[in-house]
Amino acid sequence: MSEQDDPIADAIKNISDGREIDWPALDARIDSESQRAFIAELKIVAAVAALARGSSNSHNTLTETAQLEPSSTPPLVWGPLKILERVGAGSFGEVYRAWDSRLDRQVALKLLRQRSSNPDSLPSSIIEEGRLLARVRHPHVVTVHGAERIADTIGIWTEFIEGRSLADIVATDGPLEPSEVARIGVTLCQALSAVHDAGLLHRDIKPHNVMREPNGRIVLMDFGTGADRAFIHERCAVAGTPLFLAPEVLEGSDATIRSDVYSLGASLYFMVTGRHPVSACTLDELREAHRQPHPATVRDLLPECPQTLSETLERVLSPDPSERYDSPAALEVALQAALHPAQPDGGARTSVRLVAGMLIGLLVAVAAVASSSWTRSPAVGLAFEARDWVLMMPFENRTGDTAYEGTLDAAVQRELTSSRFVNVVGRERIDDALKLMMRKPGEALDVRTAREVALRDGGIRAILNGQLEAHKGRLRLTVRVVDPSTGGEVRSITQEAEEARSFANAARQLSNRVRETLGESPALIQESNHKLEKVRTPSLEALRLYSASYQMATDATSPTWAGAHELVQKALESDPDFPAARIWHAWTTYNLAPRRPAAESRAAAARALDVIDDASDWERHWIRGSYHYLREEWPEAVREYEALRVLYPEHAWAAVNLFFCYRILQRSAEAVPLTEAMAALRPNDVVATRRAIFALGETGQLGRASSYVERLQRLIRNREQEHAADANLIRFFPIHQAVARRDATTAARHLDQLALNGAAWPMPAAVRQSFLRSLVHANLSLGKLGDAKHAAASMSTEPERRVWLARIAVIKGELAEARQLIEPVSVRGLVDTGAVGNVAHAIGLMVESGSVGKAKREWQAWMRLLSEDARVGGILPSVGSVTTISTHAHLMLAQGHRDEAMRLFREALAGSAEHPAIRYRVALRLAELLVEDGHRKEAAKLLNEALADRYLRMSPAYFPFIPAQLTLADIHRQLGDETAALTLETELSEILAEADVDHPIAREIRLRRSSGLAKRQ
Amino acid sequence: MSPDDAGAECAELDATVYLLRQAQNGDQEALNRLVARYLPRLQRWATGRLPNWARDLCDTQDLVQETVVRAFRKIEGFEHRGEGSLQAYLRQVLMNRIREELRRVGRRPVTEAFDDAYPSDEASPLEQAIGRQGLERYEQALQRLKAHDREAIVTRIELGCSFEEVAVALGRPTANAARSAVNRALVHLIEEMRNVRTG
Repeated sequence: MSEQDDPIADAIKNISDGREIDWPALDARIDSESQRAFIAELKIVAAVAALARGSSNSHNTLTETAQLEPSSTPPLVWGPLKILERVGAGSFGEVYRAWDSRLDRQVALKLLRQRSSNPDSLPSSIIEEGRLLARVRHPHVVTVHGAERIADTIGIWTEFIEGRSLADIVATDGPLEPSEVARIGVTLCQALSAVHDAGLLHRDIKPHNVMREPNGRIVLMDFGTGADRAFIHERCAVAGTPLFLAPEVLEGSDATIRSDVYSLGASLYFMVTGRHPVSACTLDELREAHRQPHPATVRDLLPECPQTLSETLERVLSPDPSERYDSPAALEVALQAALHPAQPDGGARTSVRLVAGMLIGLLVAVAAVASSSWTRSPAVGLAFEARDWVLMMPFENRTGDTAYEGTLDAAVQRELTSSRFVNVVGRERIDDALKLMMRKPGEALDVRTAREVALRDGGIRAILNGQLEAHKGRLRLTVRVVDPSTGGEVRSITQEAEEARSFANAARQLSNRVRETLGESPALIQESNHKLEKVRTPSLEALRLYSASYQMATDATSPTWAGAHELVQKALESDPDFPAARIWHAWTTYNLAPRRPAAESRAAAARALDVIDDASDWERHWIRGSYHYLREEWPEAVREYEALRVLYPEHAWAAVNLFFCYRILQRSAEAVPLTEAMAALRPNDVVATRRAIFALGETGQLGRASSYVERLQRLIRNREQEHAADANLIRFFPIHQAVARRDATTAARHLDQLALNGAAWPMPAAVRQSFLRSLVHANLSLGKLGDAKHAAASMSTEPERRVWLARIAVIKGELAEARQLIEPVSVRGLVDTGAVGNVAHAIGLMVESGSVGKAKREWQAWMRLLSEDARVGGILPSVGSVTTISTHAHLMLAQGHRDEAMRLFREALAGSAEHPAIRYRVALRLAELLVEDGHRKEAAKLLNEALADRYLRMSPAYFPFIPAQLTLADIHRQLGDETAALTLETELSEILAEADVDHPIAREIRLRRSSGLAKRQ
Repeated sequence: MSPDDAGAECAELDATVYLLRQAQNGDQEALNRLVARYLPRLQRWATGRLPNWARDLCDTQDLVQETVVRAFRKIEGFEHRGEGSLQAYLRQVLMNRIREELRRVGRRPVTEAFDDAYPSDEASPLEQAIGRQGLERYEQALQRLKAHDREAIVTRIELGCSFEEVAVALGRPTANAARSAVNRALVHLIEEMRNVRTG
């Protein structure tokens, strides 16, 4: 074979270069078996390469630093510079680290792509600006070395700044101290003044464009290139720039000195609060938000921010430019004033405040103690009822002793756990709400955020915050109960502890009073206290470590079992007999990676059993249940977890574990209500909601399911692309409901709408395939063969397309066409293209369309694959599965082995509880055979049972019930039960009301009804 | 530092070596820069390797970040022969971590019976595309390759680096030399895959 005609070498080059390969054309060029084998493997490698190239299904998280796909390969050299590596990208172009041989140093090179779609861009002015910028020499402005246009790319190179942007710093370390922000502000004002003095505007000031070098130097960089109005319009809030733009610029005005000052102020606001002064998700929303009155007071978010700084920021962020400072210099003066207030010594003031605070505090404490003795009343106005949720914000540790960090939190949480009246919201649930709010999960909460979380969640009726203070060995514990709807403090509760030893007791008293405030009856509180008195109190240190460990593993942002494991081990070192910690240790061991031997976690669970007497009532069930679960003793685990859930329904882990136990034990009926309970525990979690929908739908509770469908819709709003499969579920739901009611007209109407609009909705390929499949199913269940064919023909995955077209042909009775369609389909081919779900269906079609020989050959190929290739076992239906048995049965029947077929059909029927589509088909065949043998009654009974759930299940995929139902009607008629036959036929005529005229069964039903009417007349 | 060809590449490599050393000594900044360099590609790679149901349970971004950070911290035993070997090493660490994650989650039987609407639930995007057996054959063959072949495949085919970047990673003089290396590696890979099938 000559070099030119080496198809394999060509293919290799294409894969290497990242080009698509025309497989059919390639196939045509090869002739040897070994080449074919080579190509087969090549396809796999090509798929891996394609994945790396293509866009992934990654979530479109709202981050400030938008990462773009790498564009074309970067040049090695650009003009006088040698490119070393790419360091960043934006929508404007890319940034590289490069070497300037003339300056003999590293530089940052920004290459701007010519955006031909943008008529407003003025490339030559960028160069001009670059040159002007080069004249600005200021210690806090990035030094521009040069700007050049080469071919159609413009490059600007500047000094290379090491360090982090202030956006990164705030993102990782949190907001900065007000004084530091003021100092940075002063620096930036000076820098900006220098820029303005050179006759330029920055235009794009934001925390991402301010760097802090390792030595602390602040540098302003990344000047907005070009007065691109289109540039602004292109971006949405994802990239972050519009969030710092002055409102008048958003509305279309030119940038000015005052708009630069606004952006600087907005950046400072961000640095000190961690928030944007105005935020939104789209440009339009942002403009609207700017137009609304928004008292963006810094002190709302940061009470300890000095007045002067807060007022300065408020002024600089005025929507009206004329109200702002008219230059960076003016702002600088204001910031300097904030840094050096003309007031008595800060230190002295602080100490005076502290003393006064404590005096007042003592008074409050005394009053509180006094009041608690005669007014044990729940808070007025707070709409808290039994089983409502309370959000605990982290308590401040103002003792100055880090040993107390988190102790009050852990103690109060533990106390509240023993209350059946009050439930504490877990971190996961908070994160669900944060995600809905487009915030980062795991974010630390302030009161404003906590209120919003409460509002979004819907079930949170109170917020707790507070602090722990120390004075001369005495501890003061304070909790404030806040009403989320008003943000107002409902009650402030303080408890004193004489010394560290009585801390636990004080925490209990405090928690009791919180419970009363929320409305729990004193009697119930006393009762639970009594119960807890018998329970060993763990050491405070151990409790704190255990709580932190528990939190860490439940923390959705980064569930680090390794970290949790370390913490709980420390807890056990501090208090070896702490039952809850012992069982938790078993779980952390279980979840470690790399996997530890099962014996380790089981031994840890056994150790928990040893101290079970020291545990509270629900803890005992938790320990026993977990002990059994870890030993895979499922029925015993179920018993304990069910008991636990009676006492403590909100235990999230117990719910999840129990769910898995039910599934393992195939007790699906009990799993269903559990999915609703889990959805209630996390009302903003997409997965829990979806699970509930399917569980309810599968058991015919579509009415109940619809409320979850509404919730799902709300949860994925604005994120449909990310949740494309869920979006489809919502779209198809009205159809499921209509089919269940046999309301063919409504179902057909919805279906037509979906088919029409479906092409426009963005979906990943796999989801689109599923969408089309659902369209096919739904149309088939209504007898709309033409529309089903249309949907199937639109499928892009080849084998499956043929399979569905063949199925439709068989339904229409066009067997020759079906044979032709199914001819090229093979098990090998289905496996190679990953379409294994169609194997049984395809072979069934071969049988039904009359290609029995082919069916037999493919069946053998399937069996051979299962026995020879162990890796296939995971994806092809295995020998013992219902799918396989049923296919085998059909094949046996087609080959004339009647008895064997009947045996296999019975076997398949027995195992098909969870597979309705198979069940209906199998029951039909079996009934036909029984009728042939004269056993009509048995056939009727069998079919009746098998079809019992035909309108209950939430999926028109189960359309095979239609021929089965017709046959059942026939059998009833033969048995003389005309009423039963008529009922079934009427039902069929309802569901097939919109069927194609030439649908065989619809036609048959029409004939029967008209002849039946004739008979009666 | 001299800015000629070899020099610039040495500068590049040294930077990584330098950063690695600094990271091991606890320099957070160095660690951040290393992580920033490799993270986006590895995240994209990982997304293709995790099925949807596992992604719900553990955020891919955090999984990758956590793994990469830890890998850099514990990198003492790693012989840094070049960028390519580092990338291949990271990829392997990540692959192992993903496997663990799947096994851990897999212990809880996720028998969600609604495969109809969620075909991708059981398999990762890559598995969907080529089937589990094909994927396993690919993985086995990849491990059997010589180190330089494996690095070529990992950097170019899996992580999608440009040929210039691959050249630097593999220590080749030019992009074209890198391309040839990748092509050779592909041939070896496929031969090895066939060996896995029959062997």
